Amino acid sequence: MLKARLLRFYLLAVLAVLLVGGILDQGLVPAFAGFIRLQVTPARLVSDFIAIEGVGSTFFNVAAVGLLGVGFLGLVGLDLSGAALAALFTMMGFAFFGKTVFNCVPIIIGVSISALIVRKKPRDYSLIAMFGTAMGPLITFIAFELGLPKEYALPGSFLIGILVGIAMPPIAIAMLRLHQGYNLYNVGLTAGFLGLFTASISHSAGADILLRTTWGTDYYLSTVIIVPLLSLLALAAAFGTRGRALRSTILGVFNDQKAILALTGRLPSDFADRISTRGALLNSGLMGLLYWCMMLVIGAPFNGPVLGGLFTIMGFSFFGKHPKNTIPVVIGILLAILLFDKNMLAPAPLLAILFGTALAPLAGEFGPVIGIVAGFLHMVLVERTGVWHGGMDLYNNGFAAGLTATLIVSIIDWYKSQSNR
Amino acid sequence: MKRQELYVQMISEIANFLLNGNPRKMVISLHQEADGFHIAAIDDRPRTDKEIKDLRESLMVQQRPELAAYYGTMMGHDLLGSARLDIIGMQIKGVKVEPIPEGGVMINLWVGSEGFDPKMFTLSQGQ
Repeated sequence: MLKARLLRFYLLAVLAVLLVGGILDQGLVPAFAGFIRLQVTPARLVSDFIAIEGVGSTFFNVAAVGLLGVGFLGLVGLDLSGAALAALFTMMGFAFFGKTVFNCVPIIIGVSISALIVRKKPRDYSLIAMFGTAMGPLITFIAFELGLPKEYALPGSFLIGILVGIAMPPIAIAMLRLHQGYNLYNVGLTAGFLGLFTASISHSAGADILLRTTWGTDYYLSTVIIVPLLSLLALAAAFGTRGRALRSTILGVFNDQKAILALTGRLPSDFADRISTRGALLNSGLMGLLYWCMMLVIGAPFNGPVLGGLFTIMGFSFFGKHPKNTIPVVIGILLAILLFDKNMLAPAPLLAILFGTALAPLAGEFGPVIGIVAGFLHMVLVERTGVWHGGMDLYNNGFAAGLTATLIVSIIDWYKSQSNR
Repeated sequence: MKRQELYVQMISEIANFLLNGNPRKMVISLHQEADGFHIAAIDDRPRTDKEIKDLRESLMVQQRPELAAYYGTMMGHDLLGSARLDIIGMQIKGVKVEPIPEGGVMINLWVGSEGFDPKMFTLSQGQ
């Protein structure tokens, strides 16, 4: 219970920072008005909501999507855990550039219906429902981009969102078996797979889907400081003593972090459960600061997608990612960027650096060399995959990481099983 | 059919774990009841107290339906990498891990629906 209480405190603090930050940046009424407009804004990759409606409105959207996730968890009767925080931070992260309350709700309903169809409880598929909101842009696309009459567009988009949600669990479960838990963004692979079909249907119907690129480069103090602020909050929650001796608390938390570094990160690795909540909070805070510093050093803009990447890293630092298993993957991505002379600050390479860390379990299980190879292959692949699904799958890096992990796991699996016979 | 699949997956994962230790002997038995089942697995590989404690802790994670229904489906399918007892642990109702006098370990797992109580299981462990 202490675990859930500590995580609840941390999450509430994160939501409060976002709401207060939104009000301070734009003012309550303009921020809220912008938040409402975001609900009807096209959301396919890459739609930087900060560039479209400003910082305050985007922070409101992020907080609202986070509250939707918290409300859903409450409704299905689940307490906060490392896995739940990973899902919540992923939802919030992508609410900087694609997810809205409007486009998340039908998918959550659809996945819950899917659970009921196979006589399970919606709680059982709650993680798929939350991660599954990656397909949100499809709903916004049908509702506001396709040019259908309003009386058909809104109910039609909602209905298709529900149908996509219903299809999500069986595909997500099948995809897990392809990469065997070595791609942390399994729903990214699932949504990409589904996106291939939806984009192809759309193409056959004569409505080709072209990728969008709304990529902000403006400087805002609030977007620069939000991640270190939330990271420091995580560290404060990790080291909060509540009457215990400071020295033993600090030593204990660092020992827990050390134990986390020894884990492979393969799905499902709930660090809060397996090691400790405080250790997981420290890991999340350190990972947030580490990758924020990296963005600062290379001169990345702190726009919606980059903040989304940092939020997702912080979330998955409760559920699979730590410095030791992510750094080799990032080295591989950087090598590919340098070898093929790509612009590191262009959207695809920059997002690959952040989201390519989905392949961390490969480095955790098979060592840093495999991690570097995985990162290299991921960077090569990810620039092509977005076009395949027309930006419908917000987790494009999860899609590419799933394909990369499947390739590497297949080869290692074949080698290990055949050479031992 | 659904339950048969669960037996196969769980037995496969526990066998994978025991075989990783390269035992000379391994026995796995299954006892069924209407509302649940019991799997007992025995090997002859001697283990230290710490190894047994770690084994017990891996299996004694709390029940996590949201993880079990999703990630738990990997159980027994994916034998690349280390065996994952925690995936078993999040799906079971009861567990008992103890060293056996001949060396090796005996792992008892009880699985069942929400109303299932391992204590009410009619077959004793020795049977």
